Amino acid sequence: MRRPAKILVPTDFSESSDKALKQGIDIARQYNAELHLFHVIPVDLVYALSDCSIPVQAIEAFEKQQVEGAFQNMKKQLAENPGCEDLKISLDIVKGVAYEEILRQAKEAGIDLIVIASLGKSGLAKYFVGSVARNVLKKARCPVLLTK
Amino acid sequence: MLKPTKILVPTDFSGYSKIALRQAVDIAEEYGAELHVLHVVEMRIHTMYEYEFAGKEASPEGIKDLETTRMRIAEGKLLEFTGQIGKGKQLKVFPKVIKGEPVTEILKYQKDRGIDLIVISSLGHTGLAEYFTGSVARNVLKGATCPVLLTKG
Repeated sequence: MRRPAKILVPTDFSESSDKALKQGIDIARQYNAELHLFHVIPVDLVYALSDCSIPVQAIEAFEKQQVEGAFQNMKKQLAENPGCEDLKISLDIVKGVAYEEILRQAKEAGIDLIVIASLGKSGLAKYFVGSVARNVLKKARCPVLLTK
Repeated sequence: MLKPTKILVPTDFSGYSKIALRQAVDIAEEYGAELHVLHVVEMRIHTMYEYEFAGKEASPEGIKDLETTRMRIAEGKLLEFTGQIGKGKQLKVFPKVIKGEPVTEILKYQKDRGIDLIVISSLGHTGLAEYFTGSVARNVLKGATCPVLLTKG
């Protein structure tokens, strides 16, 4: 950064990612920066399905439904933060391994700040940084703000 | 946070922590926040050896003297370090040297002073060095109760 222009907030729609989004919106507003809300659909589920001789069409329909669901969730999550209509916000949904896709997106979109929650869905303990956040912190080339 | 009011930059005076300092100064200016710059002097058993190496016999008083000297040196270095911020900036800067174990003292300082943002540097991502400095940054990231901004070298 030093003054962030493009902020990436990865979300898994968990409560802790709500917090990261709030923080991201606040910073975007402060610096008049773009906000990129990002969700990664895990691939393992699709692989599991394709193993059980389910017709391709059914899998495709399921995938479509997943993307549509994620899109709705994103809009819902954003709607909880009133007053962000004036911000430049982009929504992206991809399929893959969460941390890999986050890092790729950061690179490709020229992100200069990632705001990520220390714990996502699989949150267990207080003194613990989730695996997605940990890998992003380790490998990102831009500054990363870890919210608690 | 959401808007930081007290920002903490832990420093070991390395080039990497200069990057964190510059970033923290920018944020402090943007939000009108206080800037706390902390250095922790680690006292280890080898402190005693250092002392004996200097041809003196180790004694509780001697060790204490050595500790005091090291604290003074660190305070001088810290002033030099915060001197980089430059004058003319409307910033409240609080430099502080503490004796102890770095991670413990950083986390304690954060809680005691109500710090709401820590800015700390990682070595970036080449080679072994990543895993080396990582340990302080990693444990601060883990243990802090406020948001932590990790800057990249």
